[in-house]
This record gives sequence, C-alpha cells and structure tokens, in this order.
Amino acid sequence: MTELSETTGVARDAGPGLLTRLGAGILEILTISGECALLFVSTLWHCRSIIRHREKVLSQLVSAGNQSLSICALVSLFVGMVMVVQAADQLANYTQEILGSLVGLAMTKELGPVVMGFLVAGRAGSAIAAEIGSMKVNDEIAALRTMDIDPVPFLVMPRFVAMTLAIPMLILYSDVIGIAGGAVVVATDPSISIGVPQYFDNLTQWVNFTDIVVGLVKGLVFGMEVAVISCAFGFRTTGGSRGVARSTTSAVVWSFVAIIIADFVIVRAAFLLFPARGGP
Amino acid sequence: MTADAPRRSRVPIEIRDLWKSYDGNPVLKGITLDVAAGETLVIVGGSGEGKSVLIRHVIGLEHADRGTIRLDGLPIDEYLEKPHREKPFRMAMVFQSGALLNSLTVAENVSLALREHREARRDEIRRIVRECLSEVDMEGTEDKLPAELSGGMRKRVAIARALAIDAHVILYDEPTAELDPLLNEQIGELVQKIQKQRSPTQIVVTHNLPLAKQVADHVAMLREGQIVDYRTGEEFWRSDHPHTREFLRAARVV
Repeated sequence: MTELSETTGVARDAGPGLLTRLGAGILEILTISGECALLFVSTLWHCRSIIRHREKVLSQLVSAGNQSLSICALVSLFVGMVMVVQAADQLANYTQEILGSLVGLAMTKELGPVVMGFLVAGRAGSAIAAEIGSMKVNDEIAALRTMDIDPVPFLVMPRFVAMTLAIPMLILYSDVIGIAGGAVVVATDPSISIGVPQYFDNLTQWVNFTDIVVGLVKGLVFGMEVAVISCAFGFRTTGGSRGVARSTTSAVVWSFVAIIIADFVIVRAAFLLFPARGGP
Repeated sequence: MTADAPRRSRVPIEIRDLWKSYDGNPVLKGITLDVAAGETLVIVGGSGEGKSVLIRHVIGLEHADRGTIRLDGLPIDEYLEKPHREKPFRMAMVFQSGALLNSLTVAENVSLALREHREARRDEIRRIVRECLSEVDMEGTEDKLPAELSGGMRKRVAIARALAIDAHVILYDEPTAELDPLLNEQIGELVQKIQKQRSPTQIVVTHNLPLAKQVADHVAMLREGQIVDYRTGEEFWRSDHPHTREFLRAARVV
C-alpha cells in the first residue's frame, strides 16, 4: 500500500507494520513447531512397524551414518588437535598435565555431540529435506496417499530411527578420533611438556562412564530433532526447485537452533542428575 | 489382481455443488457432475481453470469447502477413512509427471501398493508386474529407474501402477502433457484399451483435444471454476456453446 508521508510529503510503501511482521513470524514459528511435534508423535507411533521396514532403516542408516564417516573423522581429528594446541598455549605457564582431561571431557560431553549433530544436520538432514521436498513438488507424496500408503511409516520413520541411531554411534567414533588427534599433537608438538602416557592417564582419571552417556543421550535427542525437522520441512515444500532450496536451508537452520537449545537443556538436566565432581 | 481381492464393482461418481477457494480466491464454483460407471469423462478447459484441482478432490487429495463427492454412493471422506483392506473399490491417479518414486525401480514402483499392503505373495506380485507392464508395452523395463525412462515411458509405468491394483476408478491428470503427437496417440490408445478390457470409471483432465476426441464418452468444459458445457463425446465437437466454440476454435479443431 502506498501512502504519503506526513513530514516529507514523499510517497512511501507502508507495507505490513513491525507488529504485523513480528506476529506473523511468531505464528510461523509456532506453526512449524506444532507440525514438528505432531510429526514426532506420529513417527514414534509408527516405530512399531520398524521390523517390517527394517530394510529401509538399514539403507537410511548407511546413508546417514556410513557415508558421513570420513568427514566426521576429519573434523573430529582437527577439533581434538586444535583443542590441544590452544589449551597447551594457555596452560604453558601453569600446568599442561590437565590436557588429557580437558580434551576428553570436551569431546565426550560437548564438542563430539554438537559437532556431529551439526555435521549430520548439514549433510544427511539437508539431503532428507531436499529428497522429501522434491517428492512433494513432484507429486510423489500425493501418489503415495492415493495408494493408501502413509508417508510417515514409509518415509519418515526409517529416517528417524536411522538418524537417532547414527548420531550416537558417530559421537563415539568422534570421541575416539578427537582424543587421538589430541594425542598426536601431544606426541609431536615440542612446546608441550607432557607425554602421551600422561595425557591418557589424566584423561582416564577424569572422564567417566556418565560423561560418555550424557554425550550419547545428546546424540539420541539431536538425531530425533534433525530427522523430524528435516522431514517436516520436506513436507512443507511448495513452489518447485526454489521451494526445495528454501526448505533445505530452513531445515538445516532449524536443526542447528534445535540442537543448541536441546544441548542447553540436557546439560542443565545432567548437572541436576549428576552434580559436578570436585576431582577424579 | 489378487485372488482374494474384492469382486470388481462398477463405480459411478457423483459430484454435487463443489466449492473450493485458495487464499480467498475461488477455484471451483459449485461444480455438479456425474460420471457413469465404466465410462470415460474428459474434462477440458484452459490452464488454471481448476481441472486438476477438481480431480484431486475426487481422489481425496484436497478437501472441498462445500459440496459432496460420492463414489458408488459412498462419500469420499468415508471412503478415505476406511482401512485399506475394507475399501470396497480401488482408485488410482496418473499424475502429470507420472509421480514415480525416483529411488525405486520400475517393478518396485508398479508393485508398491501390493507390497506395502501385502496383497499378494512375491511370485504373484512378479506376475502382476509382468502382466501390467506388458499391457502398457513396457516389458523388459522392470529393473530400470524412472530417471532412465522418457516422459512417455514414465506415464505408461504410472498407468501400469494403476492397473496393478486393478483400480476401479482411474483419474488422469494431463496424461499427454509434454509428449509428442505420436506418443499422445499411444496414450490415447492405452486409455481406450484399458476401458475396453477392464471398464474402470475414468476421468481424463486435458487440454489436448485430439486425445479428448479419441477417448471421451462424455466431455465437460470447465471455465472459471464452473462446468459451462457437458455433452457426449460425439456432440461436444458440434456444440454451439460460445465458450466451447471459442475453445475449439483456439485449438483449431473447428
């Protein structure tokens, strides 16, 4: 709508007001959250048919997990290495004996889960949103419905189960490689005063089973979030290839935000359930 | 067709006062239409007149704002709510793009509904797939992926998918879109052959008038969301309705 500005007399495009846009934005967020929640419940319900759809689950597990192994290894290796380099420099005037525990705790409790969550959301989550989005705009989802085939057990459930299993497994893998990366730097960097045995001694003293479990629980939750959000955005796709691109980007952005929020909630819950220790 | 499947029934379609709007823009404005059991109705009209929207309502992919659709006397909503095995008849739609699942082979696409609903044993499914592909002249393509097929082949596989469930109602959305005239004729022959051999109730949405002429028992002209002309397949081409005359003239049929 074009109206005349009272002060300048110049015609300006009023457009929707700030409050209108804010309201529309909030409404959109609530709508998407509601769709994701409904899809999550429906997917959980359809997990009862997991045996029947085991081949699809396996194929998705390969796609989300196996095919991410090399990139996950590369990223985890460098995360572990850079952490030791950074921490060693900061600790040079104090003690570098705590490098093992620092890398171990950071990898198992925080960096491993979050980095793997982001990687899988960016790689497999975007692929899911794009695949389902293309199916939507090409009427493949509609074709399934005309054949009385519910897309939730057929498309969403296998991806949900695969993603929920894949991320925790990748986290374990990432933990091992990240810690190994740290050890490589400890062994080769002349500015580090501790040896590899000392690095691992300190790590095993501080990292316990609960820390690993907390990391794996994060992985389970991140996997569910990424799968549901990616599928929900796939189903929301309209408008041809531009719509697919839009859905894919939104799915990744929403997954990242959901991962960070869930990470905070799980960390708070973990501190309540397993209060921080004073020492090894 | 599976041995224990429901006995074939002939399914008439009854559409009454169907209204549909999108974002306040009316697309269907009180459509009333009957399709007799076993006949082929062709709905013609220009692009954006609501032809595809109409058949998406018939198969239950869209829900009307007002009005009813009954198939063999059964309201579409009640039909959709029934569990698959309790449905008294089968419906299928051949989409404009074919809408084959790209990750599945031709055989897997054709047999998808049978496999998912466990309607037949493996060897029987293989036989049905072979027969249906042979019926649409697509033998030997079982292991191909949709990406390896031409547009016309994809549409024939989509028709085979409808035949595999022995659909009593088949809806075709622009079955000849993006095909050359020779393929248009082949698709037309296929639609005719299916009606002759299996006698399903068929609705064909198209703006391809030679196809309409080839297959129609009745033709309905859709304009601005309303049926403005409805005649038998022979009479339609002699219609004196101004909109029909204009449409036929534009298509150089008269």
